[in-house]
Amino acid sequence: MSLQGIWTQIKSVLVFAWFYGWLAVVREPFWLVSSLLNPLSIVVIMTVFGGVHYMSFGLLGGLAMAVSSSGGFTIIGDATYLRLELKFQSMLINTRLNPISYTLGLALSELTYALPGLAVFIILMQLIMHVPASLYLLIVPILTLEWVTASMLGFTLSTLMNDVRYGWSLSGILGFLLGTLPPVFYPAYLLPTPYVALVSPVSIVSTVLQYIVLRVNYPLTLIRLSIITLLAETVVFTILALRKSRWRSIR
Amino acid sequence: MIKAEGLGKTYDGVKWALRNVDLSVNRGKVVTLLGPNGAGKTTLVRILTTELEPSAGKLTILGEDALRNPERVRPRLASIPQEAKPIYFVTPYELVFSYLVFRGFSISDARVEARRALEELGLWDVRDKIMNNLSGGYKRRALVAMALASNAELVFMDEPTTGLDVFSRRGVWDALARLKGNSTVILTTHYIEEAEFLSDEVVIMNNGAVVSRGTVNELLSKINGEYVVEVYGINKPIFEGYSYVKLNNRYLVYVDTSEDSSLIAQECTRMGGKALMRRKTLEDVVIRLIEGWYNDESSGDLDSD
Repeated sequence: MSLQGIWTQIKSVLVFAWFYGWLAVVREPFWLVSSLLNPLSIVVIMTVFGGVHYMSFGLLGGLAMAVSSSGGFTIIGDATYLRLELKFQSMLINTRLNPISYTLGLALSELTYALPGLAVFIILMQLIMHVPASLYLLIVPILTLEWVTASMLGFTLSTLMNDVRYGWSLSGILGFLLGTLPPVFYPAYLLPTPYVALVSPVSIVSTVLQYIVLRVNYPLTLIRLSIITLLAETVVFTILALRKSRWRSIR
Repeated sequence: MIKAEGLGKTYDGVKWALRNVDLSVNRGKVVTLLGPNGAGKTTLVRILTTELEPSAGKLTILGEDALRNPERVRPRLASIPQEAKPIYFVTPYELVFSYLVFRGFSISDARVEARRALEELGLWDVRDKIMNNLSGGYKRRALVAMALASNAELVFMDEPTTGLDVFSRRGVWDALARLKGNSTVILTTHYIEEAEFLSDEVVIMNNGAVVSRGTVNELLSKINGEYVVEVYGINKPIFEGYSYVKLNNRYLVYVDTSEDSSLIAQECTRMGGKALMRRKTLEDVVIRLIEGWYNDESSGDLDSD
């Protein structure tokens, strides 16, 4: 691909994020608030029953869940909606936007939409936990890996949907199965083995964040395995999404 | 511009949604695909836009093998699919502008062309209103504006006016008429007058196959008579000697003169039925060809291919 072609793709990805992400933030704030309510409500319950100590776990879990749910898994519903309900994907086939850029644009628009919610969690973390700025050098790359993993998994699953309602439902189910049930909002050491955290990219990220920010005494092997698993999931789900994100339909 | 040979599509290997379709379309023409629901029009359009892979046949678009190298063809086409809807929280300007950037326009060119298209379609005054607050006609015209602004060599419009009121439909017709000349347009529609008004050539499809094709006048000449009498409310045909089609519980009788149509109408009224006389239109050609194709026993003499 020529430099001009690469620039066209980058420009398209950014315009897609503005078009489907930023404009939604500005014009649909109610959705934004409602998408924040799930993780925030868990934080509130944990604080009520566990005090400020568990509030810290809740905020880190909420941050991890907000990245994967609002920033990633919602792509299932949105990609299905754009493809089946609006036929927007069919219109984009006849443009210079290639399938990879479409996937990235959609993922970036989901992240853009989630950014105000993430900002709320980060502000709360700063107010309550006083996280040193230097730690964000570790936190941001880990959250980025989580966003890529969740987005690519979400997009891959969206290609299997044949009804918009299933897309919205599945994003909610995945949010619960991967973002709430495993040790995301609570420490993994409460389970018979903390290695259960490896079952979900969200609990992996939450566990690593607890290790970095709260200095929870997890085995170093768990942290190393967490990072390796997250990297592997990022690569595998990205390859899957790129293989699935072809324009040509078989049905 | 488009050359399709023996195009076919089956999803299960048994039933063919599209059967052995040959199509040749020249530059700058408006070609309309007409036919009932399930005729295969949308399947054909989806194959021509390279979205759907055919099960059989060859397809050349703009001189490229569209089946082997679809990515070379795609940026030169624009397509507004059936039942396409704009994203509800954006404005017409944002919709067209973004689409043009996705098509490879520079930001400044996209702004200029988006404005031009919106002005041409009478959407400039509502450019900053979000789609949710606009009527169905405006939404549909915003989609047409995307195609109009695209400067694509080949534009596909799958039922662009379905569900629009008479005024909005004419707004879309004007837009399509403007596209004509600069672009080749493939249109599918259920509205016969739309096909008559816009088309250089009409392709009539039914059951996945092409039934007939030609200019509007060529197709009109394929059936007898200048006038049609629609007769209903009588049980027995009273028009022996005329060509007719039975459609559910009514008859369409094709006659040469207004005197003949008056005679049939009077006789029908005398027998307690009702009759409607009118000049022959493309709709009668479609009914005659498609009904004659499948319900030959209920039709009179069929003089078409």
